[in-house]
Amino acid sequence: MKRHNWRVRAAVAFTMAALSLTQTASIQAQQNSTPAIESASPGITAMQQAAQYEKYLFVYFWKQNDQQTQAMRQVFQNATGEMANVANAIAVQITDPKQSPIVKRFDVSRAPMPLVLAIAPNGAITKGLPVKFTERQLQDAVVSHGTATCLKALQDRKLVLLCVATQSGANPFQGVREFASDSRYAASSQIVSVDPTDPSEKVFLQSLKVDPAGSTRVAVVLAPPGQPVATFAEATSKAQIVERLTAAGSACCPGGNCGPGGQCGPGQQCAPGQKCGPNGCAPQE
Amino acid sequence: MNLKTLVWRELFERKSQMITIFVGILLGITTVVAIKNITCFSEKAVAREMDSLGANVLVLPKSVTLQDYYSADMHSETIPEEYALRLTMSNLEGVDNLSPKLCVPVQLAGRQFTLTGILPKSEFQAKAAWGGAGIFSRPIGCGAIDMGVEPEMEDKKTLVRKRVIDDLGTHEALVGADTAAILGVQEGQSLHLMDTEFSVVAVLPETGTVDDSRIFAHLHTVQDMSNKDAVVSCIEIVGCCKEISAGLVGNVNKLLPDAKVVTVTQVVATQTKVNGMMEKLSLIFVAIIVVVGGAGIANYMFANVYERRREIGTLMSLGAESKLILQIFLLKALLLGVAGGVGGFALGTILAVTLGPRLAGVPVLPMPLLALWAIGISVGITLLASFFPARRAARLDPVTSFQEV
Repeated sequence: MKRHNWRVRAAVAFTMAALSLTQTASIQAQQNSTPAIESASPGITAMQQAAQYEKYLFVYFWKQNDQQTQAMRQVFQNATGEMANVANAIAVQITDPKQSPIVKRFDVSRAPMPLVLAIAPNGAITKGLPVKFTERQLQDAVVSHGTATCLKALQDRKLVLLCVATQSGANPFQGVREFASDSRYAASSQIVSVDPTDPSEKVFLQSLKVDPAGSTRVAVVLAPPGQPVATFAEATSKAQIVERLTAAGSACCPGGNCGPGGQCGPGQQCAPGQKCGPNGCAPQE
Repeated sequence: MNLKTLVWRELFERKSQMITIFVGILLGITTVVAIKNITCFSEKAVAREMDSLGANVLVLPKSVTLQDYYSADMHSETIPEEYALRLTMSNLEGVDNLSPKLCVPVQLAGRQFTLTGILPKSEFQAKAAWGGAGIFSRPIGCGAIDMGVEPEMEDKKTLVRKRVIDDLGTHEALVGADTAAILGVQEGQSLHLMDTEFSVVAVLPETGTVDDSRIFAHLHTVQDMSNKDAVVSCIEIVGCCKEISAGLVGNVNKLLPDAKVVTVTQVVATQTKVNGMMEKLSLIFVAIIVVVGGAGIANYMFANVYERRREIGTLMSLGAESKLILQIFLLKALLLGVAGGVGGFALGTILAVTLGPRLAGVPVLPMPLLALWAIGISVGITLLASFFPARRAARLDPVTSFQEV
């Protein structure tokens, strides 16, 4: 019996060693393909690995190992442990020089700690949770494919033209496509298509006030950081989209001030009795 | 001997008493003029501040008073810079914009200025998009929508109105109108501050507020220069009107329990309260001048009339009419009043102009209208207090006065 146990143990040890070597080789291969400065960062490597396996990466940034950090780390471990099939997890001490590339990439050196960032496989940050959070909040950070794609575009400061439709017609969303290919907007806009029948997109579409069960094909325009600006029918022309977005972007209340000279009404327009002046709203003469 | 000579001689008959009375009036008027002058400019500054402050919610250290903030945030208390990111990454509704600031004093050309570190929006804007899926279902801000397109070259001079700057280099500076005028600095020139060289990217337009005497630079550069950690003096929040009335301040307070969260309305209300107190104080001083000064003058005049009844009797027996006697004493009072009023206005104005910026943190200029007010009050008191003694002198019977003597 003892001899049998010894053989089993040897086999397990051999398998582990082989796996470890394989993994090291894989990481090494990835490191060779990334810039030298980032290759040494375990955080960046973990991001690349997670992206490669189409998994989320939950990064737990911390500075001091105080009571709050320990308590939240426990929450983090519990939550990520339950999501091991869809997400990897790492902890990063922001003062560790080896981790400086990931700290710099997300610019979190002055952020409130502890901080959790949930990073989707496409690189979008699907949730930033500072100081205090719950397991539920961490679980909610795993979002649908459509949500992650939109978030990524918005975090790249692009206007998202979200086309919600089940099947492509002969010339789907022509106005939207013309808008996105216009030289003025091409670099700063992105079309994202979502199938409303996909159950994973239900919550996302509901948050945009689009009925997932509805048969209407609509395009929702989202502006950074994540503001729904307008919803258009599929047949809306490019000119109509431009007109609507221009009006939304040139509202007369930059800042939406409440003080004198900044009385904003609905739709970021001046309150009754005021007009749009060079310094925002001003009384009508 | 004409009336003028008589009045002049009468004026200097009892010099010590006359000087005491004059100084009393002078000091009283000086105080009232100084208070009124400072209060008036302070009120104007509040109105301008209210206009220029795009921010309508302030996050301050707990121990800092609103008066400290109003006086260019020159307090030593700080709050962590990370509060700004907590606000950015929170799911609070109605935070349209925010601007963390750190103020430190700097000496330039032998004068003290306020170096204000500001964090450009570009450094925390991206983190607002870390709100996750929930970001789509809650209103974000209330101002113009960011269409994602590359903005045109930012006019950095809008800082004074918008309170927020989109981008600012670590060695770029924005200079207030007064500071630029005093230092002779122009756009494009360099500015040497605490062993650091800054490029002046804009001279800000005059606002009439403390911002005119500020120099704005990148927050992190100012923190390094002043050997401070990642801290700020205050965070100015541009909140949306609707959400402020719906309890934004309370929600910010819950998020940042170790900070003081106030609305600009509260700041203005507090400043208005201070101004009101100053106004009441000046009224109390006027009352004191009227009662004490008036009683002093009346006493002085009565004593004068009593002690000089022989001279008055002699004058009257020589043919002087009651009217002349009345004129002598009233003209004497008038001269005292005018001198006290003019002197009080001049001294009060000098005090207000020199002490106003230090006490109230606002630039104070002379107010010529107060001269009329000061002379009116002073002359009114002296004439009123002297009228009855003068009338008594005018009604003296020369025979009786000779008999008494």
